[in-house]
Amino acid sequence: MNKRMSPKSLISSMLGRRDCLRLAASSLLSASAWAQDGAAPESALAQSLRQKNWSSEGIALVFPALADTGNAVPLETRIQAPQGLTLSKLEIILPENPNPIALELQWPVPPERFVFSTRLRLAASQSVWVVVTYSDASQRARSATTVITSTACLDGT
Amino acid sequence: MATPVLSRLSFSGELRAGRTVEARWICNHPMETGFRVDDSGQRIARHIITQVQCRLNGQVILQATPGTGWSSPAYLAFSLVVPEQGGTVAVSWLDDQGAQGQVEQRLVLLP
Repeated sequence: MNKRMSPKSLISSMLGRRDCLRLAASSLLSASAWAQDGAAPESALAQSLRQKNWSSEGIALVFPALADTGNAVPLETRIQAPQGLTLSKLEIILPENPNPIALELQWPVPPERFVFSTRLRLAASQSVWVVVTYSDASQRARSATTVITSTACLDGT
Repeated sequence: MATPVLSRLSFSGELRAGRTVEARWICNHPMETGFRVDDSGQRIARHIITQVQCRLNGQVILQATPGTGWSSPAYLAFSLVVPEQGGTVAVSWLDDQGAQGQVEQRLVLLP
């Protein structure tokens, strides 16, 4: 009688236990590398913001590192202008959102310091940038990264 | 019939002359981004606030230009210095469909 071997017994006859373990470990490693490569690539805007040589002195951000949903992520910002300067403009930039400028603030009577809080809608996990322009047209910026588990903007339910 | 857009303005901190307090404004505007679709697959039209002005005793102290990245309900809390005689803080908004609204709150100083 011609006995047919099952695939499992065929593999075990060709490979030893250690070979099987080695194969399993290498497949796990390659899967993990694929998962890292599979992360959404950073947008061109995010790259250009990150590559600029910003000073972040005088800007403090309170932003959660992890948020359940991107629908309303709280942001608190404290800004102190450098000596002799005042605040002219503030922009909150969400580089991975379809419309990156989330909020722009201007003061008809420019203050030296300003504290504000708001809530942002994030389309994806990303770094939020606060870019401040001072009265001498110089700029400073600070970013804070958050990971969201559920995206906003796309779901109508 | 469209849902009325309600907004509220309140203060946090001691309302004494010269002190810095926080004004908190919240508005239940839909802030529809224009990117979402409803259950039938139809795109929901964009409907967002495009301008917010904050006034202290009639003088504009802050101008905000929101984009689609602002949450719903719209929320903005900002610091302001209480004037000697108190006064009124007003926040007005205008959206991309021409609707507008305003809310006022008096700064009643503590004795």
